[in-house]
Amino acid sequence: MRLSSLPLRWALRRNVSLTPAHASKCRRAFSTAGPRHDRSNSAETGNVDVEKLLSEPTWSIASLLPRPDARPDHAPQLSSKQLHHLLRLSALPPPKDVAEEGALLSTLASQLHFVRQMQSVDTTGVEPLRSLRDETADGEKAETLGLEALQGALDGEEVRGKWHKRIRRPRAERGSGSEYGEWDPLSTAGKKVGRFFVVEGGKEA
Amino acid sequence: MSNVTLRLAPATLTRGLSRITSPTGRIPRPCIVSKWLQSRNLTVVAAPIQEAIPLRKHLKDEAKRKRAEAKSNGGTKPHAKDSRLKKWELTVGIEIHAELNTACKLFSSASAEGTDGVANTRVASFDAALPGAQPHFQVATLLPALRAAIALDCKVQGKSGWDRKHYFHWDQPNGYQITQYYEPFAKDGVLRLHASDGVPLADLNGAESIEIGIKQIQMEQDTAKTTHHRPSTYHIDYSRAGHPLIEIITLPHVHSPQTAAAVVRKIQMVLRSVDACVTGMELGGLRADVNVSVRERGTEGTGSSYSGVSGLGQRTEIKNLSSFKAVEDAIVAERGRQIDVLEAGGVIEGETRGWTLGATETTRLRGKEGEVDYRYMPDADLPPLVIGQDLVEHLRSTLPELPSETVERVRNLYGLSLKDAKTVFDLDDGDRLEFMEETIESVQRKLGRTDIDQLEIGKLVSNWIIHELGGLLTTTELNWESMNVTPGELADVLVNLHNKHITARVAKQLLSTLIETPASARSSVEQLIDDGKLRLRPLSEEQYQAFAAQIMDDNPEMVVAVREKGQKGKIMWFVGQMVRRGEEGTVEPEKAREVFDKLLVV
Repeated sequence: MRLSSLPLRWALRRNVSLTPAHASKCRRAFSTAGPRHDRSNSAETGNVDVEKLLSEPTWSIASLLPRPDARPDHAPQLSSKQLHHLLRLSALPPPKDVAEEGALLSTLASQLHFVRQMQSVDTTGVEPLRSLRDETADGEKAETLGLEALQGALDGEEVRGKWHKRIRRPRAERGSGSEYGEWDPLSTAGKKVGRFFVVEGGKEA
Repeated sequence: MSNVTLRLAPATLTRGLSRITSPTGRIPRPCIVSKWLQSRNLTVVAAPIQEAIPLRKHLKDEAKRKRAEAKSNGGTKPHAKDSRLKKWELTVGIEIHAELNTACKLFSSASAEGTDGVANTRVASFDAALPGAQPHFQVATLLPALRAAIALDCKVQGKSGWDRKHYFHWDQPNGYQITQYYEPFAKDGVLRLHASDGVPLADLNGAESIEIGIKQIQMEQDTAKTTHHRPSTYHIDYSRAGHPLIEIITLPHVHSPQTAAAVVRKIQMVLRSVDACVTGMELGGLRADVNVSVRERGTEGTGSSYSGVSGLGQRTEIKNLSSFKAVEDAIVAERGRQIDVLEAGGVIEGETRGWTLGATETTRLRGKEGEVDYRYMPDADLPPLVIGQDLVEHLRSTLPELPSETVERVRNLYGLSLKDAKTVFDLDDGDRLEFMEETIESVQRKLGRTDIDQLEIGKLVSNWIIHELGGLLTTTELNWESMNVTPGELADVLVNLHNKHITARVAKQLLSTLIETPASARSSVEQLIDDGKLRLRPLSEEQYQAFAAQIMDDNPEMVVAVREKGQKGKIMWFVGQMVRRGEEGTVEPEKAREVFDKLLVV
């Protein structure tokens, strides 16, 4: 597969022949090895054959899945015991028969191959992204919970006592059930007894 | 799988209390409903299984235990148990989960209080895990959490995160609990304990106090309430699901069961004093898990370490201890079991164990192979928790007095004994102490003289408030809120007593009258004294002598007992007779005693 959308500068830096045969041999899809060396090299040569560079891709999306003829690589085979452990953790039903188990194992093997490709990316010094947020200084300032944010709650408290001062939050004796008066949680219950959800905890359930 | 918390749901009045048993034979915690019913003066069918031990009784028991310990230390009998303990050293780490005192839940705006006894009413869509429901951090829950962290001397982290702890259980509808595993909001605190907190002398090692390190405090969600109905049906109430909890994790610096119980007790007191957690252990608002390991003294155990403390033995965890006594007993039992296994040449496995009240050994809940893989991961729905330093400083400067500070202040200012000081500050949520201080100030003002020792007044007032007033409240079965004696009125009574206008007996009567009179029919203390002709009309010396002689003539056998058999105690009997037979407000017991001493010794 030709990757004509690859940035030109990246391709120049790589300075590797772009043949399909090399696609699966590429260890690192996005490594940035020796830019200075390459730049000086191309600067020396002055002339870069762009056509030649772009003629062969260095990386194929096919590398993310195991090749159909590939031998099981350095990764260990998944055992049936591990598969069952994972299914239990995810609360998924166990496979019905050996054929289904085999299918699950091979699917899992290709998924793990994909994950290994992801893990092969060099991320030293890179903090994992947890979610997309405004991480600028202003954004963090906006998110800071300081005195003004809590002022409402602080105002709701009272100080009891003149000699032995204590802070006490006045407690609501009766719950104002009207906050969620519009919906009755029990309407989502498959089984209920009175005002309770019911679960059958027996082994045979 | 996960820890199953079996608790009673508050049932409505129309539904009877269901008989609760559990598969592991654990006795559940005391019924919240029975206490609710009791406070409304309705009859209770089943008494609570586990009573909250009043502080004063606990202090008495502690004193008794210390005396027994001192006696046994002085004794020469070598105890087999003591020699085992000399060889093996115990190490305990404690994890406490405490319910925060907030209006809303942690990640939803459903109310966190006021059940009305009806189940499944305070449930938001996120608490019921409706698909697509998102968590929204309720900012007001930070206040009690921060106060708890500051009171325990922790460093509040400016930035902390929310993580998911995955496991499947019917009381965790989302399939994960939102907690702070990677970055808790407070770290590195310290808790100081003194001998008066219940720490045995052996642990103090000659120092005045010991410091228990607090590794971290984190905020997390509570699970739903489950009730077990035979044989395998569970009723679930999601009103509690999502309630904010803090988990306080101590370092393994505790080396005896009594210290462990003292740590839990002290933490509960500290949290209550800063209004962070107001429901105690006996109501299920605070629960403790302990990690117990033993090692031979002077060795490195199995080389295990936890959080920087190394050279420990293999630890086991005991979950869901629901009272201070349970903490102590469970640790004693587990220590004994571990020593037995190690002395027999076995190895301790790292397992999770449970404890039931009245048992002699912990029971195994799950072993290492049953260990759950929680697959912790940061929660992507929630932004990191960024706490402003100005808020922390404000809370630190306005933090209420901590229990140890209050006790010290009360002892220094008013001369109370340690036991009295500890009792009074804990009574009625601090209102009794407030009343006492107001009364002392009032008495001082009314007496007008500045030469009177505040300590003397303090002792007088505190005795009356703790013992007399307390006794009257018990006999009339009133609670503090409905008691209508004002500090001014009590001050009047005590001023009259101090000036010897009335006797102590009359003062007690006045107090009793005041308590029983409704507010509408109130008259002032002075008026009551005048109306009842209670003012002391002191007898002269001759009158005392004559009266005493009369009583002695009426009871020659008692006279003989004192004079010849030397039963000095019977003199008080004579005093009592004089007080009883004399007119109200005439006989002063102290004077009577003097007279009898003179007459009888001759």
